[in-house]
Amino acid sequence: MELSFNFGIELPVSRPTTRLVTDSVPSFEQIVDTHYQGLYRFALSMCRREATAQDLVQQTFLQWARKGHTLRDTTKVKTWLFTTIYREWLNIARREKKYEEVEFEPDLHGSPQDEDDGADPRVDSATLETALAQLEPNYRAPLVLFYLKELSYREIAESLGVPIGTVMSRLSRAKDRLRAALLRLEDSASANIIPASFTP
Amino acid sequence: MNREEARLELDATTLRPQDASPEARAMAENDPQLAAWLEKRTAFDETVADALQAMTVDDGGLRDRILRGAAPNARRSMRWITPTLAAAAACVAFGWVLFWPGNAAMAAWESESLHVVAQVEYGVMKLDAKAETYEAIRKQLNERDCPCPSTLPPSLSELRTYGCKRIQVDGRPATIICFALESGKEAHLIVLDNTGLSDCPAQDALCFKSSRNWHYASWSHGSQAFMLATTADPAELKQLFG
Repeated sequence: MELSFNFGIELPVSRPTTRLVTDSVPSFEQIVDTHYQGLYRFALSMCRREATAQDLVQQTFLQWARKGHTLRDTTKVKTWLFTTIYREWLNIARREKKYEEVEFEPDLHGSPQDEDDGADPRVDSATLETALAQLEPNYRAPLVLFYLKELSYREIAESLGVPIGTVMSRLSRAKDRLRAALLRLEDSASANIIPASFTP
Repeated sequence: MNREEARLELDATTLRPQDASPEARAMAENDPQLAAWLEKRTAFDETVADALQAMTVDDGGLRDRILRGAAPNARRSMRWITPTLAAAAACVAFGWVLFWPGNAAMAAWESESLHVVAQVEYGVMKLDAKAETYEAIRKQLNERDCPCPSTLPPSLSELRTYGCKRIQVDGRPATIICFALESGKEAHLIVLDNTGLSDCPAQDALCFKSSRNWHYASWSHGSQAFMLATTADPAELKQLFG
């Protein structure tokens, strides 16, 4: 049960976290258990092939096993893992020449929307998967990391190796694009529904 | 922070509102249009995040494969232990051979003396005083009331000296005197009182022995026991006694 008292003093939303004695370095197995699912979802969103995504995750933990001990700040484990898996994916994508870094150019993409109009589209896992696949990797990467809720936008910027401002603008743009894609999918789905009364 | 900057920051923190700056939050509280947009955006983001979490993901036993595959590499960081331990053991063994050149067949005082000699030879133990002639050494030893040879073979006392040091052998005061041989090597003389010394060498009778790379002569004269040790050729050692 959470008690709240109002003394006219606004408490900070985020309270400084104190490091406890129990904040010891987690074991390799604990790190795997904590992060492998998030990493796998991210990898799967980026490469869209289960086998490749699994290879990426395995490769990431392999690197952790080899180099993880060099990480001095144990609070950065998650960022380290996502940075590594993103780089691994970039290497694969560049080898396959399926990915080209394209910086966001407002002139090419139009000005950002001030507010959304109309109802939000219906979202289910299958539709979301299809909609995400339609996004460019530049937008998909920060967006999936954002929706996984694993990292803050600052950590997302660190993991993807881009400035914070770029991540914020890409996230905003990516959400607009995702919403548009979901709406299109919803429209096409309803157009394909055959009314019960219809008889050829 | 302008409205657009606040909107971007709030958009990036809908699922982690604690990450938004107070400035951006304040702007949303004071701007009804921005607040309405944020509320709608947050609802959309939460729906998408839920759908992403609900996405069935078959990882095909990925966890086990990660643990199986990476475990040998996780242990690889421990691979340094074996070579390091081996190197440490080799160093200890080398050090033991270097600084404990004695053997079980030697008299205890000889073995102890040779240990001190090795330390002086390899620079682990420094001399108390430096002097280039035996006469200067004698003078210093007498001044400091250290054991000083009553007599020495002339060919030895004529050699150039490096210096001397007061030491303990068999729990009794002793002195080490270092000479420069013609071959460029050193010879170290140990002198101590032989009263009650076990395995005391015979009076005025030289006994030549070797242990590892060391060659030495021991003898007694009057109430003193002597040992002269060197890594030089045994023939050069014997020449010192005519």
